[in-house]
Amino acid sequence: MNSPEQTFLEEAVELLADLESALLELEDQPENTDSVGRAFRAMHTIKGSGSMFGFDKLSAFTHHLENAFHQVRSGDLMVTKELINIALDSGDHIRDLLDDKDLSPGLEAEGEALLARLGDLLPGEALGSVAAIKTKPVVKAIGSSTADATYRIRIVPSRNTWTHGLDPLPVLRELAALGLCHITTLTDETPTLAELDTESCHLGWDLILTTEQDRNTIDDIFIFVQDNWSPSVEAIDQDGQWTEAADEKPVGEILVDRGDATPEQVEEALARQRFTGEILSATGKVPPEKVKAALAEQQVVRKARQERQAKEGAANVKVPAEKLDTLMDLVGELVIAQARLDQSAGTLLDNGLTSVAEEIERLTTELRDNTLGLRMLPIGTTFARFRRLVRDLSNELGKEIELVTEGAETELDKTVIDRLSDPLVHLIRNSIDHGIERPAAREATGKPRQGTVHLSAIHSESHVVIQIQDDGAGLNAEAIRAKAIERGILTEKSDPSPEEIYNLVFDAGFSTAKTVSNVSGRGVGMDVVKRSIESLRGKVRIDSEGGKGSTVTVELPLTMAIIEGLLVQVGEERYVLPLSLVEECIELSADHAGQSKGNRLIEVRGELVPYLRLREWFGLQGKPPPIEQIVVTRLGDTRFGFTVDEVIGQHQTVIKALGKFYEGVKGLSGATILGDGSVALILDAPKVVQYLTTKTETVH
Amino acid sequence: MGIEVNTKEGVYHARIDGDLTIYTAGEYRDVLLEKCNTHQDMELDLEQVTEMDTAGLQLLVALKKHLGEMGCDLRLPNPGKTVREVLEFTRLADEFSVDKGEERP
Repeated sequence: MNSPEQTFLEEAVELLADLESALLELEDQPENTDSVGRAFRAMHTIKGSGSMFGFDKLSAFTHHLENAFHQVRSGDLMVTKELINIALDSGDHIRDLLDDKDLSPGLEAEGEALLARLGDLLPGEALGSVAAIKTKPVVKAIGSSTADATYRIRIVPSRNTWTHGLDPLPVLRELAALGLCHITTLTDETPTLAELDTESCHLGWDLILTTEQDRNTIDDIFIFVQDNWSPSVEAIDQDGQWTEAADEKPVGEILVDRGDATPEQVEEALARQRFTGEILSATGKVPPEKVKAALAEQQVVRKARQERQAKEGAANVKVPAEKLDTLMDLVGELVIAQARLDQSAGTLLDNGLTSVAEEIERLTTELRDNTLGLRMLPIGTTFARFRRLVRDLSNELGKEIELVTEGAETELDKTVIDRLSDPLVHLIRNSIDHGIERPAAREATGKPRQGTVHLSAIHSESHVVIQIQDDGAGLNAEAIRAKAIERGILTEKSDPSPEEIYNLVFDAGFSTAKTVSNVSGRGVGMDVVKRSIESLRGKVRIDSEGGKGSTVTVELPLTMAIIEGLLVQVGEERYVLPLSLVEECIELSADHAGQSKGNRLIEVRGELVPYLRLREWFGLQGKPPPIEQIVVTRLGDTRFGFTVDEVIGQHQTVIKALGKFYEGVKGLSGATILGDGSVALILDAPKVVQYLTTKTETVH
Repeated sequence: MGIEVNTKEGVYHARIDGDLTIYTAGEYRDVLLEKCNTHQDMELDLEQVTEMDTAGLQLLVALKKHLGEMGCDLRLPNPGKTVREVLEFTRLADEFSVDKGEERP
């Protein structure tokens, strides 16, 4: 299975991603100590685990980087663009090192070069070469997991800590960020206002910290205050092995352990047979905060024990994607079979069977929801990758560009996200390379220097819509048209709409860029993008306004989605409408319906709602029943009705995509198999309405 | 930036704006010491405090003790984001009777 080294590699990749994101944040906000801390911790962890798995050169290299960030933390080194550049490049170098344990000469030279650049930034120090570094041997048994450990930490800063520029609060925050932390502030030594020297620190803190991080990490946080503060860090529970300190101790014992009470005091209190802590604090023998802190420790330990037991199993599991695929298929089949069971149970009218069938329905629904959830990932992870891309690219091209994202929490099937990544990258590169102009050019046309690329993702029933919008120069319709004529795609006489012209860029072999840049290539891009998206059964189109910008819209279906549908009957056929859109159903009597074809209006509680007769839409033969039903749907701000013969009821609908043959049919977003084996088409209500409002006749 | 202390209906109404840090703690301590010497509770409005460090925190602790010596309360009716965050982080929110998350409109 997975060797520990494999795990290290996977985690290293995640850490590097974390590092990159922290560095990018830091670039925007150089004062952000949290980002520095994050970057530092990522480096530190990579260094440590690297050396444990024999990646010595990697570990040595990272050590230098870590040192530099030490200095950032202490304020000796300023965060500059150059530093971020070096750090980002170093991150890339580390990634290369992950593949090349033994350090080929090319890689070695690259490393030396980076260290040289780093050395130039550091005040006064010369960095040794990678080979000459002595790394701290990490003493850890192979196979030991990084389990949680709990530490009792007492911090009493020196009185003159503020004069030394050391404020305890950031240190506390760093500690707290390592895991689960219970803080107690000790104020017993704080003088009252009259006696207070405001430049002298009389506060202390007790912390109970439960963390996965190793002791080194904690010590590191105290690196600069070690001498001044003499913090005490004591493990009270480690690696699942409860040290004697952590057996659930009576408060009195804890107080004695900490040196806050003498054994005699505790004994005396015990003799009174009340809660030790209460007595000790009430009699003023031990300051109340110290008692509080000891109680806190007791509680934390107790709680941690309970959670420890519960937690043994809980963790993340990595699962091969194909197993999920198989699972999904099975669930889909199960849903269909369950529908048939439902139907049979309905006909047989056996109470016992009916109740079991209902139970199975409930379970199937839950199973369905859970399984669907497994494969769905928020697209935000993909979006995050793009920040680095935008940054590097804009630097390379001398442009100033900001990436704004929206809808990062929108979830998509994992495979879809994977396959979407490359096309999106290309589209963004395009916007940056060809769309957004240089700062000077932008200013000349009255635009802000900084261009914006706006990336958004949003769910809409059975689709996900992703948009890439830039405020650049837009597409040049004339140039495209000319090129198209040159390539024989258009004739001189043809007169396509601007929209059609813009979308010609997706044709193979199309490129109107005057310089084929390194970045966007030879125009093999856009048609490949289109094909990739179509292979996901999606659609892509581009719209533009000369001088103002362009918008690329990608629409992807959530195939294999299972939705709650409303099953309706029209003539001999059955159809499904997405239940999420349905507001109500009302009756339509024959005399109201009238004779003519086309759209009609009906009044619903004072509001006029247009409706469509599905019978006519689909050109079905036969006469409608005397009383028909109108299913009123809400689409965005408007309401729209669909006339059907009968509303059958709620139906769990497994969406099966229509074959290629039917893809062009307007108004359908798929089909499903009903309990009796027949097929019901799924109506794409929004599309139908859209179609109706742009054309004047109904056409099938 | 600054501190203001008034008396209204037998209660001190004080207010601190801006920094509550080592740079201002000294000055504020002097003002508070000078003005708050009678047996009265205090309501301290910290909503407009934009920055607070441990020196500022210490000042609040010392102030509470000072009032406590006279048997009086220190109340923080409207701590504002900055102060609330620090008090919650250092678990002193209960000490200062800061309720959870209710801000006055």
